[in-house]
Amino acid sequence: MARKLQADEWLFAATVGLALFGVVMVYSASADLAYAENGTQYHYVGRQAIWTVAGLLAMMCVMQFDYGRLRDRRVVAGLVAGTVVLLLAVFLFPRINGAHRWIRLPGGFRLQPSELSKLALAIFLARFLERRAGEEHALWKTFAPCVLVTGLFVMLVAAEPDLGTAMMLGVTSVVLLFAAGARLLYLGVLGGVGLVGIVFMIVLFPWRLGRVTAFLDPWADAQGTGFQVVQSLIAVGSGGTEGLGFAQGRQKMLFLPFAHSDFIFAVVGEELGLLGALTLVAVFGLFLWRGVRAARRAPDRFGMLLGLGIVVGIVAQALFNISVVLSLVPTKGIPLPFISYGGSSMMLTLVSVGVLLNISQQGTAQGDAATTHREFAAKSLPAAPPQRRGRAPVTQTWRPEGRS
Amino acid sequence: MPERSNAKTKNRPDASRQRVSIVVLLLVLWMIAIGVRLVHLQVGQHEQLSDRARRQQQQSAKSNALRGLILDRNGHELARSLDVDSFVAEPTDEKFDARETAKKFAAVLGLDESPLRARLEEARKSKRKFVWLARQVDAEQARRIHELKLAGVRAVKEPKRYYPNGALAAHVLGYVGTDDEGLAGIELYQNASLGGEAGKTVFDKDARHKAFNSFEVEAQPGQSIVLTIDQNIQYQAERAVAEAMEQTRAKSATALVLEPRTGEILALVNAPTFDPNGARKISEELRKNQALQNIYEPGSTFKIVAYSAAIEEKLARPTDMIDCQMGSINLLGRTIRDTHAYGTLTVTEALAKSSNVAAIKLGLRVGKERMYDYMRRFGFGERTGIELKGETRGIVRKPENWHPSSMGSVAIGQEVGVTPIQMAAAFATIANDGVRVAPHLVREVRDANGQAVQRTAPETHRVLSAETARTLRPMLESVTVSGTAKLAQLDGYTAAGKTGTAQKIDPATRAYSKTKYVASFAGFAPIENPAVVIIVVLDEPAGSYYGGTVAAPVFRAIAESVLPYLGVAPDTEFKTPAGGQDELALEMNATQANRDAASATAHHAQYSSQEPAAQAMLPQVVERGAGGVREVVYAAATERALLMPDVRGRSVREAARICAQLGLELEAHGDGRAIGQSPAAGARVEAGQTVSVEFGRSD
Repeated sequence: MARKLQADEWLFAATVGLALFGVVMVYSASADLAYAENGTQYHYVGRQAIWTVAGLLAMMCVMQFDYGRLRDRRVVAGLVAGTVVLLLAVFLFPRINGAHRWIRLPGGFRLQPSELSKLALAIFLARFLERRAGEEHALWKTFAPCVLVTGLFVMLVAAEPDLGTAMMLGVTSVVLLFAAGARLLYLGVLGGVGLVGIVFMIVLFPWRLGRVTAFLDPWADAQGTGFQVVQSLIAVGSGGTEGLGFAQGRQKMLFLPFAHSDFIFAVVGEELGLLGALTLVAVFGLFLWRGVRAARRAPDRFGMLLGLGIVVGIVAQALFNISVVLSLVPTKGIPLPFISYGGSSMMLTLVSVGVLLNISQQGTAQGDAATTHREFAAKSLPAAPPQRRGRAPVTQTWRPEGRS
Repeated sequence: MPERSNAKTKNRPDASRQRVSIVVLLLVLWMIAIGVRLVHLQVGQHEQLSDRARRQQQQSAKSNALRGLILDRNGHELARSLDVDSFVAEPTDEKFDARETAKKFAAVLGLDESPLRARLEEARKSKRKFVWLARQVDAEQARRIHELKLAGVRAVKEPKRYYPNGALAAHVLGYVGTDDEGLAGIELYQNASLGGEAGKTVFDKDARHKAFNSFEVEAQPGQSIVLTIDQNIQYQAERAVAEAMEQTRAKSATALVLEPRTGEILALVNAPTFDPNGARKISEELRKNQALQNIYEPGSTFKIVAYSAAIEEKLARPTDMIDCQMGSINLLGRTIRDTHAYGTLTVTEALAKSSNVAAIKLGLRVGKERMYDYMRRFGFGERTGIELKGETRGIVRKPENWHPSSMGSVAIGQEVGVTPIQMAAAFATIANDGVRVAPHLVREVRDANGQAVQRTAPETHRVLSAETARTLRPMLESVTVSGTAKLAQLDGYTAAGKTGTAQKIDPATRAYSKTKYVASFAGFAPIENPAVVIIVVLDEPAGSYYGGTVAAPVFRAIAESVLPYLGVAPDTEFKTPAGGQDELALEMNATQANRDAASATAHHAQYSSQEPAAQAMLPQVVERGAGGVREVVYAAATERALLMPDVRGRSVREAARICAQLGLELEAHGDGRAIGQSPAAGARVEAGQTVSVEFGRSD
């Protein structure tokens, strides 16, 4: 094959742009807080810049690294086991902000294993579902193991507690199962169980109910439960069409909690206005488009599912974060990928994109041969869903290769 | 090579492509929802949320703008603002002691202690940050409060309005409230200009109320208003009116001094008046500006409309003879009478004698449509536009609403309602050769640096031809020379005008009152080139109520002080040398008692014009018969005899004035100096009696 390996340029550009934009916004959002806390306005942005540079370098390395190697059983098993260990290890460290989320490393850096769990879960599911190709409908053989591993991850992360990330793990898992072809009935049941779980959590921890009511009418208790949402809405709303100008935001003056992390989008909305906020959403849209395109063009099912898991995980998290900021959903602490302050998040997000870029590098116009191939094989079956008809049938693109 | 999947070929339908599309579709829909929400928040709710943002992010401290000056036409200050101390308590201050503060404050300011204490304790309990203790405290008290050094009490500078001349021109200036807001007069009308723009210092603060940034919008001091008022003329007019109030014991009085060429009001006087320095406690009644709010039936002063129209329309000439029909005219069954039965008079004489019959006959010649037109052209029935609030239009009915016999009322100033300022403007029109200049009070508006930013350009329009106006002026002069207003004759100046006496309408009965009158005189001087128009309106004078008796002397008092002050060259002889007033008094041999008698008899000359009607709703001049009022007047007159003064050597004008003051009817023959008189000096005469004087030129 004389084909030159070329990563998706749009995807790359969107990623680098978002990451650098994130550094700038972290500076704007955190400078005053940093000055108040540490006497220097560069406390947060400095760390973020280091993590971003490191993350981008890591991304460049990873994109040179054939994602196919991740398929190795030992790699997958090791990754899952390691993640579980790390997720358990967080409980050995003292709570920060009321949660065991971090593993403290020498040098003042902190590692957040829940971020790693997202990538680990995506790799595991992609690999597992690839192996079960053609048996996606199977309940015990395919569906149950996926749910089990996902459930383990979700429970561990939820126990930290980090419900936002736990939820994103669930979403990634459901999307991959759905995309792989799991039976809708199972997914429906799973969704029902999840709903019951959420209701159970609310009953168990009544303060979560406060978040829900605060979401429904944040202004009712603007100084109490509705405070974050109200401050966030004030920030976004006061930005207007064109915003107050970069670094001119006022809400970050200790009004808006977590201005540099979970609520950084509010600062974007305030300072850059509707135009800036829509542009940011659009760039995530671009990322989604190119990411899904890369997944679809992946040469194999593992690549397709892994790519999809990565891109959907990132974009869904971004949209969820933005929805929290805009009070479209109840408040749930979760960072905005690429933008929010947080080293682990930035690093793991960029490494994931590195994998995605590698998948895009290896993409072909035909995409996942197994998928494509079976579309035609399925023709004779009565339950076959309508397929894209505009496409020329491709029969001879995929060439099985043996192990080397 | 890494392991490549060869997805074990189990022939199952693969829904992945479609399902991926569904996932993407859901995410895109989610993005669209976010976009919609962003537009909703950042466009739809932008104002509202920005407002909330400002409220929590900013704190502003207001700084008052210094209110502009009010100056008279010569730049004398009539109103100015000064910064004085006001005191506020800050009950949240830890060292603040409500009891102590209340006690000491009450002592200094002479207030009741307990309500103040209750107020402060309540404020402390409810954690108020700010309570007014005393506002705009005078300097001495402020000094004493500063010496107390009370914890949690601080002074703030607040501007306070001062009117250095006290009550002078109170109705023009108006007054302000505690917040320096104009509440009446020019203060109210020009509040926007005078008030300036308050400045503010805005602090940007963080959530811990720490200010990190501030910017200041400087207060823009108010503009200054230069009035047309001359404070000296205003003072003289007020003094004359006050004197008249004392003498006539009228309920209220109004005088206006107007410059006819420019429409500038030199003085606007209402009595009783008030001191704007403490105006908040003043009753509504006192604050009312009668000059533009008081609608009264003008009576004979209004005859100028009929005369003007008749002459302008060439329906009459001053020298034309007009039959006064021996003092009675029948109009569609209504009989209107003069007090004096005149035969045939010239038009000028009819005006001087204020014959109702003649005025009505002229009115009938003009016709009601044209009559109405002239009334409107003179400005009756509409606001003059003077820069004060609350001006009324007066009452002028359209011809189609007239009764068939209304001309019998309108021509003689009944069935119409006018304000003093309207009447002044009408006389100013004649004084200004037929051009009406809208009367106004504001000369110019100046910015804080004294630069004029706005000059008043009054609306002007021609009402009469210059010829007509110049014809009317000598006719109106005859009123003061030989007519009903001899008391309006001036020393050294010719004067013209018209008296008016009208019965008031009793609001209870809606009929003309028999005891309540409005006496007025409107006139101008000198005749050739009138410098001022003066109107004097006395409301419900007690005792004598005739315009020629009670209002004309006020006109004279004002004119005689104003004209020399304005540097107007005398155009006629001075009647008396220095100290002449005393001499005149001696000469008249008049005690205060016979002065009363004199003024009483002076009405004689006016009866014809001041004949009031009994029914307001259907006005007509009724039989006066032996009405109580007149009876009293005659009684007074016959009780006290007078001695005929020696008028020999005096001018016609002087002789006329002396006679008028004594209530004698002067029958003048010839012109020049008096050379003979009948009865002889020292003879007993009765008020109202006609005396004959021969004049001749000695050279």
